[in-house]
Amino acid sequence: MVNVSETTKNLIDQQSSMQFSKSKPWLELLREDGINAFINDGLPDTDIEKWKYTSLNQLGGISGERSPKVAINQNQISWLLNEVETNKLVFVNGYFQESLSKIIDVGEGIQISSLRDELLNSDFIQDYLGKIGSSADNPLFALNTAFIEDGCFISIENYKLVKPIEVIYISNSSDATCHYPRNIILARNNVEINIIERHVGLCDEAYISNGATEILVEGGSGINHYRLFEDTVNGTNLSSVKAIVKDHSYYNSFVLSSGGRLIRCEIDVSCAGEGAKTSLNGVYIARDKQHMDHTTSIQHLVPNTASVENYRGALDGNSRGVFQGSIVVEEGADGADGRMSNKNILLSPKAEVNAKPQLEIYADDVQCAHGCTVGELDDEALFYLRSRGICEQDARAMLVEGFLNEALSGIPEQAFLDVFQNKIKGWMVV
Amino acid sequence: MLEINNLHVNVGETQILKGLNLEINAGEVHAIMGPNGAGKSTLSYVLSGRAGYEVTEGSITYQGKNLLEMEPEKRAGEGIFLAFQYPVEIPGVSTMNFLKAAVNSVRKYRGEREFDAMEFLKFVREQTKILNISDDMLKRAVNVGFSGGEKKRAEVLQMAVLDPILAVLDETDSGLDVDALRIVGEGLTALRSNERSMLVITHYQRLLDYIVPDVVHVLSSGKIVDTGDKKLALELEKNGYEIYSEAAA
Repeated sequence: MVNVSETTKNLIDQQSSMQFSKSKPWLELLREDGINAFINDGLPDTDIEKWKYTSLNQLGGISGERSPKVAINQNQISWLLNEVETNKLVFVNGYFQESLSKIIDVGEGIQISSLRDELLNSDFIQDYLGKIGSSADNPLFALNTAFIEDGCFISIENYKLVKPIEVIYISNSSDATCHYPRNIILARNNVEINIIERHVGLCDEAYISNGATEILVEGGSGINHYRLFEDTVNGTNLSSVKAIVKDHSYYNSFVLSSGGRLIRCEIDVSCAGEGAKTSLNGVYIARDKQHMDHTTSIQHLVPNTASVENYRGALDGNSRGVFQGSIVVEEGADGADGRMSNKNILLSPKAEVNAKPQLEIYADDVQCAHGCTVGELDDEALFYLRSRGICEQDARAMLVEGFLNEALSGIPEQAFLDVFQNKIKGWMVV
Repeated sequence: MLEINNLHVNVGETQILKGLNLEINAGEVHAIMGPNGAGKSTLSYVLSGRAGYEVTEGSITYQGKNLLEMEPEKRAGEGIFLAFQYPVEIPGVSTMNFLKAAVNSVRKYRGEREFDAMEFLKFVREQTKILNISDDMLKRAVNVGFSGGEKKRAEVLQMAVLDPILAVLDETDSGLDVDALRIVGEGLTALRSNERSMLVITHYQRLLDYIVPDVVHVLSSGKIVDTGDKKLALELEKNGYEIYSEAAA
C-alpha cells in the first residue's frame, strides 16, 4: 500500500495494544493474519472492483480508536425489547452485556453465549473462527479479525429451539470510535434457527460498527437470518457475512437497511453440499445523504444447488443505493439454479442507484437469470389509487410499500414480517 | 347532477374533444357509443381528473360545483367513480388492504366513521357474494394475475363499496366472456338506484341488455352527434357508425 491514510494508521496502532486472551497462540496468530491482510489492503476505496461505488474515504473524522466498553440500562432500549419473545443477546460497542440478555433455550446440544466467554472457556471454536471466512481480499473482514474479542456464539446440534434468537447490537460512542463484533453461528443435524439481528445507535456522534459473522449450516439444517440496520444518522455500519451451506441445508437472509450514514452489508454464501439452498432478500430505504451498499456473492460449488436473490430499494433525497450481486457456478456444479433480481425506485431527481449484477458460469446444465431495474413511481398506478379516494401522499406510500414488500414475501414468520413491514411503514410516514 | 358544456380537451398537441355537451340527471343511465378514437376514454379520464388531459374550453359542473378544480381523490369523495377499461396492476398491495384504504378515505371525506378491520370484512363480504369474488382473490395483489373477467368484477366491487353518485364505466364489457358478462351485468343492475347516475361507455349493445339505458348518445370526432333512447343502441349495433363519420365530414 502506497498511501496509508491517517485513519488506517490509527487502526493499525490500536490493534498492537490488544490485550485480550494473549495466552492463546492460535488466536494471536489469527489476529496477526488479520492485521497483516488489512495493512496490505488498507481501507477499501473505489479503485477496488468490489468497492466500485462505495468509498470508505468518506469516513472523515473517524479516529480509528476502539469504542469503549460501556454499559447501558434497560430504559435506553425499552422500545426494542418487547416486540417478539426471544433468546436475547445484547452487545454494546461490540461487548456483551449480560444484564440485558436472556437465554430461554438451554439443554444438550445448544450453546448461545458471548464469543468472549466461549474463547475463555475452550478452544472448540478454533476450528471455525477465521476458517469459514477468510481475510484474503476482504479488508473489512481482515480488520474485524484483527480485533476479535467478543460477539455472539451460537452452536446448535440436534436441538429444537423453542424461541428465536435475537441479537441486538448497540452503538454508543462519544467520539467517533470503531467496534468489531465477531459472530459464529453453527447449525448441524436437522436444526432450524430463526435469528433476528437489530443494529441500532444510541448516539448522534459518528461511529463505525465493523461486524463479521461466520456461519456453517449442515446436516439438513436451516437458518433464517433476519437483520435490521437502524443505525443513527452519523453511524457507519459495515458488515461481512460468510456462510457455508452443506448437504440439504439452507441459509435464508432478510435484510432491511433504513438507518445510518453509510451501510455496507456484504453477504457471501457458498453452496458447498448437494441440495444446498440459499435465498438472499433485502430492502433498502434511504433519504438525505444516506449511502447504502448491498453486495452479495453466491458460489455454487457442487451439483444440484439453488439460490434466489431479491433486493429492492427506494431512494429519496440525495441518497445513493448500491447493489452488487454475483453468482458463480463452478465447473461440475451441474443442475445449479440461480436467480437474481434487483429493482429500485427513485423518489427524488437527486437520488441515485448503481446496480451491478454478475453471472459467471463454468458448468453445463444450469439455469441462471438476473435482472435489474431502476424506475420511478408508476403514474398510472398513482392515478388509479387517487381515483379511489386515496390522497396522493397515502397513494405514494402504498405503492412504495407494495413495491418493497415483494422482496419480503418469502419471510416465513408473520411476527418478523410485521417487524419489517412496520419499519417500512414508519419510514414512509416521516 | 352533471352538466358538461362545450368541452374542448387536448392531449398534448392533439384536440380530442371538440365542444362536447352532455347533461345527466340523478338516477339516469346514459350510454355513450361511438367508433374507436372518438374520445370516449378521454371523456372518462377528464371526468375522473387524470393528469395530461388539458381542458382548453368549456366547463363541467357536478352537483353545482366546478368539477375541473378538484383533485382525483376529492372527486372520488364527492361521489365520482371510474371503472377503468384497463384496471391497473399494483404488485405488493393486497386487494383487501386497497379496498379498505379506499373505502375509509371516502368515508372520512364524507364525514362518516371509518371501518375497523372486522367491520370492513363484513361489509365487503356482502358485496363479494353477488359478484362471485372469493376471499382468495381479496388476498391477492390488486389486479395482479387477475383474468380479464376478474379484473372487471373487481372494478364493479370497488364501485359497490365506494357507493358513487356518478359511475363512469369505460368499456366494462370488453374482454368478458358470456358468463362473466352476465355476472358483471347483474352486479351493475343491482347497483342501479334513483340516487345513482351511470355513464356507460361501450362499443356494443350486449352490456345494455342488462343495464338498460335511459338515454343513448353517439360520440364521434369529439362531439355528441346523435342522441336517442335505447332503440338507438340497437340501430347502431346493426348499422355501425358510418353515417356519422360522413355527417362529420
